[in-house]
Amino acid sequence: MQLKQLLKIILINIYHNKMRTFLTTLGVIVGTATIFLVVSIGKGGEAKVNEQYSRLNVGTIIVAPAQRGRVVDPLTEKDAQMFEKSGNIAHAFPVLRGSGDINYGNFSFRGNFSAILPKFQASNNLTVQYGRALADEDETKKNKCAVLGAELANTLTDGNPSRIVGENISINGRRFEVIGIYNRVGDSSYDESAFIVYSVGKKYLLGTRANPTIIVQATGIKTVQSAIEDIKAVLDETHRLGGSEQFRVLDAGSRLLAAQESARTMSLLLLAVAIVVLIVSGIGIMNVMFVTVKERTREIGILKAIGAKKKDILSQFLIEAVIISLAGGVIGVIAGFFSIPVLKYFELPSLPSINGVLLGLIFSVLTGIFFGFYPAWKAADLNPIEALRYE
Amino acid sequence: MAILGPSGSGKSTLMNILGCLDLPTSGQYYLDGLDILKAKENQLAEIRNKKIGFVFQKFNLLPRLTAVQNVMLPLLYRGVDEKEAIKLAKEKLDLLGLGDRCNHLPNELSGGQQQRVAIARAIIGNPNILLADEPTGNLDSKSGKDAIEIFKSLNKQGNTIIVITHNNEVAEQAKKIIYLRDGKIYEHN
Repeated sequence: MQLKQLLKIILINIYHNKMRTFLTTLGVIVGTATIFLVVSIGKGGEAKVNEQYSRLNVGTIIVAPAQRGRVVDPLTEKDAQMFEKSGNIAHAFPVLRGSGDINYGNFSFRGNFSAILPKFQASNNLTVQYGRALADEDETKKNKCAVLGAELANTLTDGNPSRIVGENISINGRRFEVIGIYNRVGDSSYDESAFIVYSVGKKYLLGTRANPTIIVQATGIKTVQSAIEDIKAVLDETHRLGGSEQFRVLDAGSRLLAAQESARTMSLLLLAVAIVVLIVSGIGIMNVMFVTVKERTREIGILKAIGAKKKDILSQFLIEAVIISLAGGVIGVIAGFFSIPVLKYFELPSLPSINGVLLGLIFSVLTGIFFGFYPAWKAADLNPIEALRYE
Repeated sequence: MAILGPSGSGKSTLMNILGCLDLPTSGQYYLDGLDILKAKENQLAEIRNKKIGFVFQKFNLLPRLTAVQNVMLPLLYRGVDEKEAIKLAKEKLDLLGLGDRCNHLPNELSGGQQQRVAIARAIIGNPNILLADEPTGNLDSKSGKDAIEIFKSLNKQGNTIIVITHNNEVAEQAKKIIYLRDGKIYEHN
């Protein structure tokens, strides 16, 4: 039989069982929509990670204490100077990080601050959008001034950051003048932090609790690994108590990889859920197809009596199952498109893509073929006499 | 030809075997020189499609297809183009006086009309043999007579018609009657 006529007959049969067909497709709709959304979330997550790290220099290496809290043998400014002697390292800057109450007017906020050497800004792509950056003079004169990350400035001013420039804020009760606001970097450890000069941070805010991190800039991407080895050698030398073991040495490249990895894990997890949904819906299709075959046993007998071959019956029921699942797939993809705004509302990054559409449809068709085959084969294999006798 | 016998005599089994729907447990059956017992399933399907037309007691029309769709179905399985099949199906329905019922579903037709649709479906492929199992069993006597008349005129046009029945009146219209009892032919004339 030609496909066109076969489809006509199948559609007549499907139309006859509209309600049942719709209920059967529900599972496929959910499964396909999930697959589509999983791919969208995966793509969105990937895009977000890439955006976050796009402005971060891949030659950046972070040397930090392996454990939080008090360290017996902390890093010092001297370590930074030692690192800079390596031919693989362009700069090494100590950074003090802390958290505390940041107040502006009557707005109080628990936030982070970093005390840096002014040179650090240039080597870490920190540029100001309002006001001015920290200057060497501020460091030598121990000026109590601060430059804010873009996100922090937004939070403190309710989205009107420029007005805070020239105003005073207090960090842990100490007064600082805001002299500028950085451009957005895409890394929350910068964008949500307040920056002050190193000497001031050490003297007024952290004192003996000062436990710096050293941010190292390798001379290039290719020298990152050698720079890491040089750093470890220096640490073994200068921190004989615990050697380099007590510090973590991380490069931005591996941080990027780790972030991408976790986004991928999330996608795989959701994909697994989607596949489970499709398997369950496939079993539903199989069930319905068995009922359909049973119901039409007599018709199958008639078809065989007038000359239908096994493959005619098989393809009729298989195509019926595939049409049901494909219809579910198409509706599922459309439902997925409509769910994207919901994800956006919950701030889940998501990016609809043609891959998601194709993957969803392919999986829905495969579900139909896989779970429709056995009932269809059962139908094709019926004995014509017994089928004709079936009431 | 009529095959006459009481119920349980094996008439339907004989018809199923003749129609290549069932295989005998013993014996031999040659149709146009082909050993049916050794034929493959696809070959049997093809024989049923081309050489045999069935008319069942219960009409056995597909309930969701219109009269014309029911009639053209055997041609579709043969690979005939849809337009051609529709044309031929309408011709046959016209011939049997159902020209104005082409697009009706079976349950919109009377018993006699349904039987005529079934006959149209059975003869559309110009089969060598037309097998009719109690064709008048579910019909009122008027429709039954009409059906017999149709068979007679088809027979005049050269079709072999085998009617299976337990009704003497029907059987007597045939040129040849085979009496069947307990699975055995015990008389024929």
